[in-house]
Amino acid sequence: MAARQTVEHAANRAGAATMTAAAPLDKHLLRELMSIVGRDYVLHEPTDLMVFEYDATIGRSMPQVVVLPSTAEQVSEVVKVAHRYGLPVTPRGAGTGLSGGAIPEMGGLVLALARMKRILEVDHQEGVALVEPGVVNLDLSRALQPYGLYFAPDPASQRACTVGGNVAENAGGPHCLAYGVTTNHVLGLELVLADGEMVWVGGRIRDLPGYDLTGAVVGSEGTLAIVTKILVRLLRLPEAVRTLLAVFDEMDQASNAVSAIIGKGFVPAALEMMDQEVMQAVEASLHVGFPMDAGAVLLIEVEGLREAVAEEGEAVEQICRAQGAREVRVAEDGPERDRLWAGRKGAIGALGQLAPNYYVLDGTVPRTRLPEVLRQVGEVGKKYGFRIANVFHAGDGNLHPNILFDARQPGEIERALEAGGEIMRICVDAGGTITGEHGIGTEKRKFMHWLFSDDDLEAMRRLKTVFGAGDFFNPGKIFPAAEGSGGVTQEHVTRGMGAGADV
Amino acid sequence: MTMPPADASSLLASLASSLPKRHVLTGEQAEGYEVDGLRPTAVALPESVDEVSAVMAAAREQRAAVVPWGGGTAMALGNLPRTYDLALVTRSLSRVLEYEPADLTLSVQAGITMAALADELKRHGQFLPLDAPDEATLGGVLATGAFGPRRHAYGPVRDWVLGVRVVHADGRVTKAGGRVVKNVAGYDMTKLYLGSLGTLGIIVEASLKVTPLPTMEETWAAVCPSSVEAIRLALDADARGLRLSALTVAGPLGPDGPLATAGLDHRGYAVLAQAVGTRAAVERSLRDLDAVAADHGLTGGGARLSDADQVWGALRALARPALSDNVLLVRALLSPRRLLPWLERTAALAAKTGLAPALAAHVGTGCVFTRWQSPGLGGERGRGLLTALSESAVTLGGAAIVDGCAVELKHHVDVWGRPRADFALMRRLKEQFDPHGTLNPGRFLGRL
Repeated sequence: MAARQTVEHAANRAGAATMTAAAPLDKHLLRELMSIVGRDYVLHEPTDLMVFEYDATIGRSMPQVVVLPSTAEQVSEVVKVAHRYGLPVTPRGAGTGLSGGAIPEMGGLVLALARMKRILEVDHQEGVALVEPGVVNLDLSRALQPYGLYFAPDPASQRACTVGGNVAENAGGPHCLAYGVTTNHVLGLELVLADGEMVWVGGRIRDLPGYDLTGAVVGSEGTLAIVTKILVRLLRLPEAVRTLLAVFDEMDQASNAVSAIIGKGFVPAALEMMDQEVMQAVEASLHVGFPMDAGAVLLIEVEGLREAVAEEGEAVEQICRAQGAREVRVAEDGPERDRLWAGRKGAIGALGQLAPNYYVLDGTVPRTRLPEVLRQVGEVGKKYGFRIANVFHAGDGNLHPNILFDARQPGEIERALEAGGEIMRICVDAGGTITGEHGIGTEKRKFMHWLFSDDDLEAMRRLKTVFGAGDFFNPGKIFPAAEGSGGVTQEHVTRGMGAGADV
Repeated sequence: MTMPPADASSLLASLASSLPKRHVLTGEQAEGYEVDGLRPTAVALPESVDEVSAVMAAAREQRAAVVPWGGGTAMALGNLPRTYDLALVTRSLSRVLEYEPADLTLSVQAGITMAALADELKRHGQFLPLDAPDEATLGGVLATGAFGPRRHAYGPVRDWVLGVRVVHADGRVTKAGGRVVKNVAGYDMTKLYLGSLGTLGIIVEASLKVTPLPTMEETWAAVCPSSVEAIRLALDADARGLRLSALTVAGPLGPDGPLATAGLDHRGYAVLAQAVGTRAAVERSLRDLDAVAADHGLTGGGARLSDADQVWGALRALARPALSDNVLLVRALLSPRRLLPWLERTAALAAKTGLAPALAAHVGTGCVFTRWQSPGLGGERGRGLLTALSESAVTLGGAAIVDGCAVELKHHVDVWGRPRADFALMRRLKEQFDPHGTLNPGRFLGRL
């Protein structure tokens, strides 16, 4: 019964924005967990738990216990114990998520997978690798470099984020335009189900008959199963790369150039946009040589065979000039290219130069709607009196407006959230969606009804039933709270900026 | 999940009350809608999503088994239906709902044929790189997860579908995904329906990613005396990292086939590559291919085929599902490095049986179609051959699927091969989405 009280206690506290004291834990539970992973890898002292109460949003919720397993078998045993004690389980990678996915909203047990960071196999002939979920995204691509291969999804947080986290959120990145998001690069998964059973879905053999369970688990935000091994598809490093920085006086010109490039039949590897606010922040901290007075720049990457890169690079450059680019810088490789990308990938972090806090938004619209949507986003900023900085995947129509605010001013958080909601609504009204790559988590579940009917959501719940996960794995995420249940509090969708957020 | 056959007259009455009369075919009119020799009581031709929903609600009420039907090009796929009362034909749902070429996205009703879709896209210099017969419907291609040579570069069906609208077994209509290229709102339900053979729901609309037509395409062929030598050459070509949309080993394609037309040795096995991109990139790829061929002793390099459509069309025909006493069409799924041992074993089997199967091996994905043709393959002989092929694929860590055979053979085998450890989850999925086994009962993996 002690266990049930623990869960109820956790559930009761779920509404509170901050938590101070952890609930008392059953000693037998702790002993069982320690016997599985070892004494050092079960954390339950409040000071130890504090680093596990947040991710890159500003929501917080304290777990009761954190377990750091080192093998899939340990994960399975830990899950069985948690299941027996009725303790919800929230998996966690590097905690860089931007929708609250790793925050244990209902308390319970956090399964921190960072120790499971082995690259188990690289089959360079067939271009596949088998990795554990805690492998850091960039570490994987670095390890693959000697084979001339890489893992395509490249979220801006790739120095820290884990492949397991990428799978949970179906993460994207600048190079998704040509190569797709995480789901397009995952061939199979080893899962631990709610009853502790281990099962493989998908695998090395392509196109096996049966339901695409791999596709269903990728992007499920840790609510269906715990992923303990990932079989990823690798791409060959291109023979040649050309990076262009096209500088425009007006944001509209840059948006039109995006449509013109795609319209002329070019699909570059990356097609990113940054506005003036972002460039000023980047220059103030990173000094990469972005023009401070320009309205917007496009960072474009063309890659492939040498011959193709030469032709396509020139064509894209011409299109940018025709759309009014006042300057196009070209980097073939080496330090100049690295500098341009450092500016892009460090852009969000640099926003700290402009304001004490910023709220990172994520939404997608059809790319032809970009000019009008960006204008509307600007109007929302004016209406609320916030500066909004835009750095985003323009080729995909995947926006990241960042609302700059000061959380110390009374009411600013609430107004920033309200402005964020309006911007999400603009994306939906333009035929788009409320998240392109950051996930729903706790942040956006209240917007799910904008996109999905009750029947649509019911179909999703049936999928959850298939996995038997109920409210056991990562409870509270994705689904909007039932009307009037009061399960979701405004405090818990208080999202802004935590340390180290990247898009 | 078993059902007694529906009562024919009450099914017809129920349909009559949910559809205009001209949208229902019965009796002799239902000819041509047989599945594995079984003829349905009725054929419904709904003209709107609401009508599809009404048909499903009627079928559900009457406990009738429904077979969704698109272009009918792949109806030979699958196990014997447990029961079959009603064909639901989606062909009248063929409208383009939204197409903004500059977005590289398109929303259409699922009954549109691949030819009509290709025409629409071509007018804007774009295409959907899924290989399927012209008369197949998009819905059918999505439901079967069909693929062909261009999967090599463009990937599987699932990479091109942004969202779908589905009519469920109880008539409810839901949408999954959306219309934009990046979208992670909620579970990726779209994936469940793709390749599910219509057993979880009927796809009635789809939003797709499309892509610009390449500036230039050239098909290159090099003919080797044996399949094994051709595979070696192709694997080397694959390792070059060239811009190839397809890389397939095929042969023998017959004295009237496309190799003969091109003046090549039709008895041999051709390495077929399609180079795409800008002119300079295509020329470069072809030069490199010639160099690989020279390394393999073909001093003249390869040939550029002037009638590429003919050769790729021949491969589509080879891989087309068939219901015939004289055909055994087996699709082996392997990891690419197992292609060589698989072909060696298949060659041994061919020598032993005195048969000469035509084969098409997609080297990038490890998929090999072998089409055996001989009278009496529906009996013991066909079963023996299939057992040998299946065992050979399974011992190599792969799987063998029967895409074409006699009805007789389907009484003895699961054409999808043996389910794997994840089958328990699949069974639960079917139970959640179609608890009464209304949709294609018995036809999918594990006779779901």
